[in-house]
Amino acid sequence: MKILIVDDFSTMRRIIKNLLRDLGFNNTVEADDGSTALPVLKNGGIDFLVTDWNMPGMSGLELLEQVRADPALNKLPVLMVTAEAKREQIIRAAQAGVNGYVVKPFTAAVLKEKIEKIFERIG
Amino acid sequence: MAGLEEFTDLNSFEDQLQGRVKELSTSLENGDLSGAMARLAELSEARNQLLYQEVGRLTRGLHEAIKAFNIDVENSTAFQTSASDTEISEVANANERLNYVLELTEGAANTTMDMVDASMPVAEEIGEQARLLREDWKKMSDSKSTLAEIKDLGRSTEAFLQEIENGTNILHKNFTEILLAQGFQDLTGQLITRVIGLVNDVESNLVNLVKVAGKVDSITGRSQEELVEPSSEEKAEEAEEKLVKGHGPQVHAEEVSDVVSGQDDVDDLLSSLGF
Repeated sequence: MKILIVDDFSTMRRIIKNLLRDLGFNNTVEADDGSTALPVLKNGGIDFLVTDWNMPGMSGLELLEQVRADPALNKLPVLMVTAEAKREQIIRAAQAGVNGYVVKPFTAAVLKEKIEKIFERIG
Repeated sequence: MAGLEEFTDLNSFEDQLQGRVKELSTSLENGDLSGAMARLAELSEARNQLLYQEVGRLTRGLHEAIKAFNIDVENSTAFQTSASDTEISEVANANERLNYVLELTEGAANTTMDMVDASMPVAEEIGEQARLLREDWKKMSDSKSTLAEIKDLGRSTEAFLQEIENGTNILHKNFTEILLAQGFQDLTGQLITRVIGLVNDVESNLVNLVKVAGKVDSITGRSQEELVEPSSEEKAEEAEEKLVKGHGPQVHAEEVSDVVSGQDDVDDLLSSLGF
């Protein structure tokens, strides 16, 4: 299970990386916005995408839309971990095909629950 | 003072000035001193009137410039719900953001210190128990211990190992909390970035204002055109842009109706959408 963590703040990437390691996911790679994440995804081998929303360059929503529009990537599970908390944004992310949505600040338990739920659903 | 209201700009002011000066010299030539004084008073009044108008124009320009910061969908939608302050400025919002930064950094510092406080005694206790146990083991190897003493040592060693297990679980939990508390850096970073953006906007708008003020004698309403409200189409475009690019962390999320107040709210919303 290889996971791509996308966030423009290195501290947040580190936090998520550590929490994922705690949950038993040791194989993670990082990108600092959508436009650097997309080539990594297109190269293949990523099984799960955890992305922030608000980033310079390409935002998380744009990245999600690109992923869903790509036949090779459109089944990739995507978890959004973001400070964006407007209802219309959550609805928009859901419409764009997000698999889970965690608002910052979050707890380790919430992240664990959402990740487990995603994997349960996709089997 | 008839006709003074007509001094709407510098050109007409100049025309009027020339007219009045001619009247003034005619009055003086005719020996009409009181008439001449009246013309002088009118001239001075006209000059004041023009200054008031320019000051008014500048004030209006400044107000528009400040309001321009408010052409920010985030605020207009987020704050219109809180009935009283429909025109809360970006500057006031920047203060809120900075206050929230203070709250977040304070919270993170306290959480981290609380966890350190909770972890220290655990580490100290494990160390202390290890020291005592080591002494017991040393005694055993130095002297001939009875079977009962060796059994005791076995039991206390087992108890110690149990304590290490419990202690490390507590430490692990505390370390995770310390780790999570560092999330403040992301949130405060986003808020500060936005405030820096505002400061830059203020700066460039102030520069514009200084330019406007420097051209007082050439102001003919042009600056007003530059400050026109964006059309509803532009606003909609801006709103879409904001939505796609992100609004940043929400300040006072619990008081704003179009913002979720936490993970439970997100979960409710998503489950209502069939998630």
